[in-house]
Amino acid sequence: MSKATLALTGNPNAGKTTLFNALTGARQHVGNYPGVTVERKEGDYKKDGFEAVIIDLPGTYSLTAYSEEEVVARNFIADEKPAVVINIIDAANLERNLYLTCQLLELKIPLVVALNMVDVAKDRGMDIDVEKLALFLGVPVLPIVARSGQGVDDLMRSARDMVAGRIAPPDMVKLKISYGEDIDQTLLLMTDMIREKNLLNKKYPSRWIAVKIVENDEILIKEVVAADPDLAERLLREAEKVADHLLKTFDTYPEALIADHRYGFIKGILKRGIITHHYDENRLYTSDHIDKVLTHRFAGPLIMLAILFSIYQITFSLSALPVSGVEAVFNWLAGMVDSILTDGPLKSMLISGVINGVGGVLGFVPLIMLMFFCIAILEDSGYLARVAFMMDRIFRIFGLHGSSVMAFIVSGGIAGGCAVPGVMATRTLRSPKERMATLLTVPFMNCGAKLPILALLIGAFFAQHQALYMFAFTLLSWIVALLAAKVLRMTVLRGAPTPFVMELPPYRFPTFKGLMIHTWERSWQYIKKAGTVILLISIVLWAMMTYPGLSPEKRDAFVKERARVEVLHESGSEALEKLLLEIDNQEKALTLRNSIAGKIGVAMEKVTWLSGFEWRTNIALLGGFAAKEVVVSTLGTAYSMGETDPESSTSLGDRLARDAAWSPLVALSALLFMMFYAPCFVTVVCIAQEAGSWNWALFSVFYSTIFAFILSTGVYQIGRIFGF
Amino acid sequence: MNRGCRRVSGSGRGYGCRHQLPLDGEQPLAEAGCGRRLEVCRVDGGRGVCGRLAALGIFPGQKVELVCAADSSRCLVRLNGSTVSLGDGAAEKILVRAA
Repeated sequence: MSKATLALTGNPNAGKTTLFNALTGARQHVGNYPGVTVERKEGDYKKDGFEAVIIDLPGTYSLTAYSEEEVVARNFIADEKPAVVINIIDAANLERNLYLTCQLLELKIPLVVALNMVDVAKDRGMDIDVEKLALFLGVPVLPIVARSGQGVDDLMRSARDMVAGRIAPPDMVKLKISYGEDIDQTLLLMTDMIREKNLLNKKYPSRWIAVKIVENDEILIKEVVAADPDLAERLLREAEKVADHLLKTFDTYPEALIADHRYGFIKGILKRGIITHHYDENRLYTSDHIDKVLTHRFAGPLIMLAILFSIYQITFSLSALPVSGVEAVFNWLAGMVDSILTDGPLKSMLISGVINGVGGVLGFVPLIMLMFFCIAILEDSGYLARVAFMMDRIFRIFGLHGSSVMAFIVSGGIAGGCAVPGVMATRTLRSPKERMATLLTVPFMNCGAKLPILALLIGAFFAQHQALYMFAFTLLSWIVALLAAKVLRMTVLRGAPTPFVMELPPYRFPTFKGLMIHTWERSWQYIKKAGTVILLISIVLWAMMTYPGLSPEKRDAFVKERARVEVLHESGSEALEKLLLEIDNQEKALTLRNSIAGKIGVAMEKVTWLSGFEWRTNIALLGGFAAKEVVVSTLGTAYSMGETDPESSTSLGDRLARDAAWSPLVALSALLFMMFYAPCFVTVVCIAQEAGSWNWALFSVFYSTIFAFILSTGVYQIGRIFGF
Repeated sequence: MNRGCRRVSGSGRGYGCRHQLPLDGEQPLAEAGCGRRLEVCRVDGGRGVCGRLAALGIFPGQKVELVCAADSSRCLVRLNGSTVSLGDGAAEKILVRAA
């Protein structure tokens, strides 16, 4: 038997992902749906000779196009026609969950209902008559507990029977939901018109198209207009007629009336002895009691700050050891290559390009995994929804969403984060524009790699007030990021704020398996995709800083110089080593100046003199695009200082402080530029991946660089006018 | 089925409900007291906002319970057995009366 495609659909928090994990285990592939930021998850299922590909569709409350998720879910079901759609519903929350089921039934697709969390429902004193529910819905209903796997085999057996054609798809004659006389009559009329012309009849049932047009579903209406403009106009006229009529007689929109009738239909079913409540159905549950504390107007934000701060602490302190471990492995690897290969371009490329480049990226992996683990705990337990709820008030002012807070903090909201996991943390955001604004502004935060630059320049030029400057620059990064978000939301990402309406899932204990899967799948995506592109770019950057190299005469000059000092000094003496090192550094600096990057740096002086940067600074800034850590080491090479350890950057600082090209004003201008110019390319690759297009990634590079340049030029020029 | 409140006298955007009932006690959800059983009377706003709220179960005639207003304008409500949070914008648009 060939593999059948099964799709999982359901409300957010109904346990869809838990069921998906239970069915597919580690056999999952995560990607994005083309052009949108919605994750597409696929997995393989195999048991008792039944093989299937399972698609985890995004969680939705309805099938009307109110969000990207709904459009993705609907299109998948309509276009790819999965053999069976499994609708997972939360037994403790039947009324709301059956709302989606109603719409799936109207699509006349092969449907199996998985009644999840029957154990929770029982704890809450609810008895559900599963057989009766199946009878009324006209489709199989299987009780399961996705967390423990109870009932999952029966569910899959039922799906298998449906694939094999042993169970008939839903019987719609029995199941026509009435939307009141006015709408029903219009629907009848419209359905006939649609049927007559066979409009989109391969994709949707006729009545369903009529319902969506009356509901004013913009995406479907566009589809209909494209398929048959003439018919579309007639259909829209009918829909408008009934809408006007309803507004006049009932003062209501058709979609509210339709929702009302759907809920009425559900209540009608449930009242016929399907649920028996043993307790008062409106009592407050444990979750509500927890919420009274955790979302309290004073205590809530304090607890939230404490939790966010501890996540930050845990991520960065616990990852320090594994991060240095990974670094040690790559250093060892570099040492191996160094001892095995003879000097030459291949060795230089392997060490500087491949090992340092890829090593720099993989060095982030322990940090990213820990961060995703912490976020998975917050997400799976239901707390993240509360954080978003509380922060929404402040972030809304800047056109962002409450859920943006996580990304900002991880990126360096408290100095020392990293924009790479920060960019990936935006996945918890649901509305596309707010998510994009967050993606584009989190790189402004002061990540850990910018700290050595801050330390170096502040130490060299503003030594009297180090802590104050550090704090001011952290504050400045917040202000700039939030204001930039505001500007973006008023220009390229213009659009009304999405009203903050979100279901707060009940608090649950996360399962260990779920946490592991969530952590791994996100980390693996980072390792795989970023790893390949990054390898390429780091080789390119290496080549730019190495080639074309010195001319033979100049290289000979250095060889002669070495020979000259070797004659003058005793071999092995400290003075000789020092002199040789000096010569090496001069050669490196000259090579750098002569390289493509060096030439670009010199060429850039034509523009960058405006903000007070000379060519050596320019090269360091170019290198900073590879990774911000590179700025300090490149400055070290360019100012010919020998191995510059970012930790003990005082000597380089002294050198800069004494250099004629630098002054406190130049330092301030450079600091501002380095804080806000293009994010490092690892971040850029991640932005491209998360935004689903390279255009946004390039936009991010250019708008931040231009902004940084204007800012630093402004400061430098104004400073000069005032004689600093 | 008993669904809700009176018709809203025509001015402004938004929509109300169908049955003619006295006007008494209608107020924005944000200003209703904690822990009360309420009935949605009217939802203001464009079709998109109303449709989205309706899909979540917030439409005229629906009974909700205000769990706790986190502050003056943000609300947690219980309806159909789930908890929904509403931000500034949304909570002001929903008019309720005591159920």
